[in-house]
Amino acid sequence: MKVRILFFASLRDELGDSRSVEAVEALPGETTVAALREAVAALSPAAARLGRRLLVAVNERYATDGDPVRPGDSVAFLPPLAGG
Amino acid sequence: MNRPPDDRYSRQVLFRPLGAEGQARLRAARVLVAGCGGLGAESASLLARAGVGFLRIVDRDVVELSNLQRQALFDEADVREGLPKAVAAARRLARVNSDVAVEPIVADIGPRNVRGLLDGVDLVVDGFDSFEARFLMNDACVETRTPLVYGACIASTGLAALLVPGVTPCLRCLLPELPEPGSAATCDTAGILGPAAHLAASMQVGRALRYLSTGESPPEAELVYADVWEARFTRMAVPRDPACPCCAGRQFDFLSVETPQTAVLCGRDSVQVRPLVPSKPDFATLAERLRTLGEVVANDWLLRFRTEDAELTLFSDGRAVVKGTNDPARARSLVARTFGV
Repeated sequence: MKVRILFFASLRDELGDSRSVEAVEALPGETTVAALREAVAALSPAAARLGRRLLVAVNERYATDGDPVRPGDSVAFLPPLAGG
Repeated sequence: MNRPPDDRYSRQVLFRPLGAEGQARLRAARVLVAGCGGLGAESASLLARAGVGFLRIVDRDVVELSNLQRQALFDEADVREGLPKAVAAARRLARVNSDVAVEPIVADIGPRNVRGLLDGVDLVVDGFDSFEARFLMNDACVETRTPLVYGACIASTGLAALLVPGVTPCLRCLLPELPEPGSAATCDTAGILGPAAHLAASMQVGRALRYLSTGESPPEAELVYADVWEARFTRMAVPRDPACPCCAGRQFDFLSVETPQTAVLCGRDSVQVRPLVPSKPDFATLAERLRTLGEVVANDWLLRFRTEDAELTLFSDGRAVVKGTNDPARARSLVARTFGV
């Protein structure tokens, strides 16, 4: 399936955009935030380190692990930021 | 042509959603700027210029050369004088807008003093550089029902969201899984671009001005997240978490944490040592004694002492920052040996 993926901050540094889209295409049909999070963690040490602390937005709404991700959705991975 | 009575704010009064009524509300508003670094210095400047009537600016650090790349409120003279950021900010803002009352406080915000700092304040602007400080302020803001404009930045990225207790989610609804202490990158370790800090601060102050001038707040938090290098923006609507321990359960974990005596200031090769009993040091006597042992700089707010391998700064609230080590035990020992506390 195809979803639009946006990576920010440390994830963007590690992944850019292209590899992530391939990884997502390998996932079958409809999936969940948890499965997508796992797929991203396998590619990105920063995502793996953050685990469930990595914020996920599906179609610009806060999403938790059980939420579905469907073809055509836009998914943003947003590391929490500490600096100031 | 009719001239508006107060030319200073004419351009923002022309902005209709704010208007003259909104301007009057800004004048009556009282804001706490919590931390005066990349975010806080810019926020303080925008708030003072916009005519927010009272600003309490709290920061624990002094102005350093590495701040000037992004913190437009400060200059080289502040670095030379060794001024605390809160004091340098108040001095500068007095020249920018003398209508605004600025109260500078040189202190580290912790469980002991946070409620007092919120006293009489309508809104808090987050200028912190750690999750620990943000969660503490979130607890205090939810407890006292004070709106908090969350903001943060790192590298080329910044974010902001308005959090209104009882209306929107709080910081713990957004981040239910607490970051491990010291695990997050800071501006001192991962770097920061000036535009990222300014963008986050501008988004924060945009939320603050709207809330203060209209009283309006959407029921969900709108987190804005932006990267100034990639020119990318996104947003995320965040609902309240009905199971949130803080804003639903009113359990304020961070207000009851005992602050540790020492804190390693990550990426700055420094350790902060807090006094067991806060008291104001006698700078004059100390300076006289230390002058025979090394280089001493003292002003109303701090005393700085340099030896061959370390630099110790003692603040008027009794805190000391030891530069040149990341070892808490060595820092405590140097402070005890040098200042006798």
